[in-house]
Amino acid sequence: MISPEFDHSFVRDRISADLKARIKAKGSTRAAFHDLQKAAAKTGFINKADYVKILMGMELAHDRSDHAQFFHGVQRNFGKVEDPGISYGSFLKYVAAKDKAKVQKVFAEPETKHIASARHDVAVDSKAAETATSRTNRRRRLADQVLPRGELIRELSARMWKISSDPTVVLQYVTKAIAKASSPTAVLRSWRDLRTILFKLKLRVSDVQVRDLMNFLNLDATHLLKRSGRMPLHRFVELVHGDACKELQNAVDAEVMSLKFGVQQRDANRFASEISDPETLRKAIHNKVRWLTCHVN
Amino acid sequence: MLGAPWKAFLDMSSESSSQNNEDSRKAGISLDGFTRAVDYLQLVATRKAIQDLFIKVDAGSYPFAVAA
Repeated sequence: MISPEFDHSFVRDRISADLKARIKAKGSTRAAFHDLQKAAAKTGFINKADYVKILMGMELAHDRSDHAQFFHGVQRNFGKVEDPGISYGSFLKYVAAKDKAKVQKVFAEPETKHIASARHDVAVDSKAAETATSRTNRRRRLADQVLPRGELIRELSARMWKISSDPTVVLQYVTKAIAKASSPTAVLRSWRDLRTILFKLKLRVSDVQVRDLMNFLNLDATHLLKRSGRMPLHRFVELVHGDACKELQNAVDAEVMSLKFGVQQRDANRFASEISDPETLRKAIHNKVRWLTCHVN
Repeated sequence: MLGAPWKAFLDMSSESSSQNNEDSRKAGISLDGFTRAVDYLQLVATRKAIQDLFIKVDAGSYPFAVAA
């Protein structure tokens, strides 16, 4: 079993250091690895059995398993799966990689997955930074583009009218925008479908706005309560393309106004002159209750 | 016979005294309940005025049935 961390392992470093020491002692790579060169001369590749046998013959302080790991390291980094073994050149590259060939390796074999180099890390970091920047820019762009709900609906309506003045055509367009090949649908399954429609109409808004719009469109104009079930697409088109949305908006505005009036009334009472006399208070209670009795009963 | 607003007023007064409003109405109401009831009617009165009225009501000067 090849350990994926082997490229960074202590054993790999030790084998590389020992092999470099051998090169230094013998004076050249040719003298140091004569047997390997000879084994590779026949087919261009050194197979694993020959490789391990030759390396064990060098009497380095490593066992067969270590050499096998090193062999697989070379194959993984510089070879191909279908190759019968490793080439002599790959072996030398792998031995030298620790000191000078790492950068070359990155550029020479960008498809290699097991690249361990500082340059690679820097590249990954810069890519992550780039992605983060683009995300930030996108967020900023969205933040700049926050439309009030009313304007968003007007814009959506205008874009639907650009498609066609016929609601049927718009309905077809909208259905096509969110339809999936496996499950054609006639309802807005969730706010994500609404987002798809908005994006299709080139309206880039935040998810929060989409959800807000979805909640608004789901309101019942009479009771201002959320409708149960999913919204049919024809109703969505009717609301945005037609005038139904204005009625809903008017109902919401009226409700908001009444609530505001209620708050004002409450505040007005709160800041009215205080009753300090118990008799006046009794009369006030009496009058208030009588007034309530007339209006409630 | 008390009207609905009076009932609501008394219920509000006796809300904290007992779970059973009918029983608490018979048993009486607390000052806190009375203050809450005045507030419920959206009347703004000083604490002293509420206390004085509560004492008079408690003493039987102004029974609710008569006041109603």
